[in-house]
Amino acid sequence: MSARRAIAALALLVLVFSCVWPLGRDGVRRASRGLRGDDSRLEGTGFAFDRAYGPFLYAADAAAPPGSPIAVAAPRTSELYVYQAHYTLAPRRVAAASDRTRYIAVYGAGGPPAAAARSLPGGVLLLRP
Amino acid sequence: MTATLLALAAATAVGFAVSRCFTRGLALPERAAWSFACGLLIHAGLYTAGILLRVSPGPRKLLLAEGVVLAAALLARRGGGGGVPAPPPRDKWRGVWLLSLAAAAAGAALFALSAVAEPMWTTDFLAIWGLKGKAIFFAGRIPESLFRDPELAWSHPEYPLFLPLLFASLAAFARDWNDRALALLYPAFHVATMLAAYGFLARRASRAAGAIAAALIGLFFPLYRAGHVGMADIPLAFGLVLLSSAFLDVLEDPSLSVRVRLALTSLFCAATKQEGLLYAGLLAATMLVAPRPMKRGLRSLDLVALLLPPAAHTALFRASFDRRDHRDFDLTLLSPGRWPELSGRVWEVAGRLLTEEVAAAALALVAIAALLLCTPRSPADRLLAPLAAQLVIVAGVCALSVYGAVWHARASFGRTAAALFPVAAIILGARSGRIFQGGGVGSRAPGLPSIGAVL
Repeated sequence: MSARRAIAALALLVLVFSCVWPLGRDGVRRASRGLRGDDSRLEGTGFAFDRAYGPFLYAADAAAPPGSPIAVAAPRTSELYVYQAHYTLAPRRVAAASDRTRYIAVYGAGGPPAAAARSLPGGVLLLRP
Repeated sequence: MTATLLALAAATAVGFAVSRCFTRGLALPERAAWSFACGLLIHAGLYTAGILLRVSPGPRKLLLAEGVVLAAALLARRGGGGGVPAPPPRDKWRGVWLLSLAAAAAGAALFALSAVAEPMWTTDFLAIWGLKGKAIFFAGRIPESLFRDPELAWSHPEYPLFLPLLFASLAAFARDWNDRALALLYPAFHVATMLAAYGFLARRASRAAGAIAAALIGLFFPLYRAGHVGMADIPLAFGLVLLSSAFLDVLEDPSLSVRVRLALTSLFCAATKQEGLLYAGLLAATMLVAPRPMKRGLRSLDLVALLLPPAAHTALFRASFDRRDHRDFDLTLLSPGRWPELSGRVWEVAGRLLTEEVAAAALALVAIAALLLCTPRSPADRLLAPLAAQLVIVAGVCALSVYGAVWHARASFGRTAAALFPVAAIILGARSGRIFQGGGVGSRAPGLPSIGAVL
């Protein structure tokens, strides 16, 4: 084998190693999970930032009449609160709180504070008059 | 899952029938990749036509429409050009070939398992591609709110719609928005990218070259990982590989078939992501300066094939949807009065890329440099300049970001750069294959000299 071939072979091996390395244990674990799979978004990585947020969004979606816009008040600590709200509730429109929307889902609020509210897991759904 | 698999199979079958017209002379792996690309464009195109005509396309209507396209394609005359290649010779380094194919298959299996382990969850899927696809699927039309709603300004209304329409069309076929089943698209893109690179290099260089490129793509986990499923970079990488192969072909054989392939993939790339449009433009610039033993005047037809579809797509998209009220980039930074500020941002980006991105990829970059230094040159090197230019531009535009130069570099540069690696794998495969093949180069299609033969 010529020196150039040997260098090329070594370089290819190093390149392959550096491509495979990022997979890591987590990647192999994730791939092994693919053998059984899980259809639930609630248990998935998408809601790993806040496990309670998914059930809250699904409950708000079920509580409000189909098609009516909902304003979602959630922490601003992560943009995922906004993205998950829009994606999970789609095709329902997620409105700004200033939009005078009839339904406001407030995440993190305790029990129904007023008559015009429904309790949700992790929050409440307020109904504007 | 089954319905999505059926939709992908039906689309590929239609794509196979249609692509017969312009893939004559290509080997089966390459034809499979072209069939997949062509089929997806047809599938999404028929769905889009359906929703624009308000016929709410479901599985029956989509299958019927695809059946009509398939029948018409089977009746059409197969295109000429390219000729039928001789079967490739047995490579001297058969072990390299076998080992590389096994590595590629292992990589494909690992990515497939991690891609479908759970419903798609990546930030860009939730905020951009999946959100738009879901909205289109449930609305049965392209909602104006995607472009007008100020609450959705972060969903990038200016991004092309091929991927959301593809998601919606597959969901329409299944009559269900199942964001885990839709993830099947990504392993399919991965395999198709490998087939495209393998088939192209097996035809133009050697089977060992093709297998090395396929292995590099198959095991490139910085791109093919769960964290990128649902985004546009993996589909774009597939489009870039096909576009690059058509580009290299058209430089040697400017036949109608090759030009059709060039036009199809330039459209695919531009409709997938804005970086695809940029790459088509850079290939056009390369084409203008690349020497080619050709009759005068024909190069303009190549340029038309390369640039007209993306230009038409961009013009149509802007006329229909683009509201121009949201932009990622502050172009006023390019005005002379703001050059001092811009240069500061450029240094910021350069510092960030050198200390984090380049440092993290140092081992791979050293290996790539060693490969380029110790392997013979190849006509696939014509992709080096546009590839490097694309990298520089992608890095450069970070400096124009309205969100801050470093933020943009951190958020997108690594992923965008990774999408270019499959094209780099073609270059590295072509060079490595030649050194491992021991000098022998197989006979090729008439008019298509092998990459090794023109050295």
